[in-house]
Amino acid sequence: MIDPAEFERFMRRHQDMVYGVAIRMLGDRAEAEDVAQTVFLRAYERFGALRNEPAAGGWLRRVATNLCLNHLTRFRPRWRLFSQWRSRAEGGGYSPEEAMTAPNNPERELLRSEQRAALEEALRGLPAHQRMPLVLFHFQEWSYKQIARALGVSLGKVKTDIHRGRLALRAVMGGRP
Amino acid sequence: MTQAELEAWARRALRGLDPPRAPDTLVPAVLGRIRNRQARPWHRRPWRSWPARLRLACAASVAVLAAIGAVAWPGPGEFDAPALAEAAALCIRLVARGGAFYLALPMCLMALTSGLLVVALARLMGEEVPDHELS
Repeated sequence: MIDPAEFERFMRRHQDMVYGVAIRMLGDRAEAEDVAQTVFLRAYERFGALRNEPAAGGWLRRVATNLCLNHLTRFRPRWRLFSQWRSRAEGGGYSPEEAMTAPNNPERELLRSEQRAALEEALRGLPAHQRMPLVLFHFQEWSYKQIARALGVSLGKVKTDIHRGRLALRAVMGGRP
Repeated sequence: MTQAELEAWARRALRGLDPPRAPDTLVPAVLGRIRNRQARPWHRRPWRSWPARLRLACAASVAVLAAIGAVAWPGPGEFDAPALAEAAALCIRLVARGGAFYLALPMCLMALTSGLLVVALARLMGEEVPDHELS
């Protein structure tokens, strides 16, 4: 018998990570929440084994990633094949080096958090065919080969899409490609 | 900016991002779905969450029906449709009396499919399959 309070604690411990994987891969809040719910429902079904498992986080991350990939496969025809995303780089330039190494003060901290939010939003605004491989490469640390296999595309396309995604992010954050 | 510099930039910039915060609605939504699921009768829940005795009974029934199907399925040229229909109807009645009519059809179909597979395998391996009258 599963203790609901224990499962709730388990969910609260992992919810940001699971939702983070989903929102970064799918770029849509409603879809990400739907995927996160499904992940936790699956976790509930095998909570007996997961509750004391130190690798539960890894299991949740893997299930979330696979569900996002399945979601992508199911809705592949709806993919935006061409970027509809426009650069919103009218604002000042962004130097991550400066942001990361600057001394802490409230103004700098605020600027940094705004820049992070802008980067997060820029990432979400990328077309799915660029965002997915970029997220798998940088956040999940998958290799190009693994990504190509999972997405069913060529290695060259993965590399090109990741490169273009980085350029697009750089254009937004730095104002130049 | 070279490709390597761009990659290093992306790595640094993305690493600096905090994990996005899950919406406050996530946990209550999951708990609500779990409660709804538990409020359903056992036969409308996923098979994995059925009571253990029922799962065992279901698996045993499928195995028995598969075995019956394998033994009783007529050979080529001896297909007796009315007898088969009668046997299927009997199976359905038996299962339905157990209180799970909705399970009868898929289970019978599974049993018949399994039976066919066993017959096909046995024939492939050159074994003699016993023919029985169903009626």
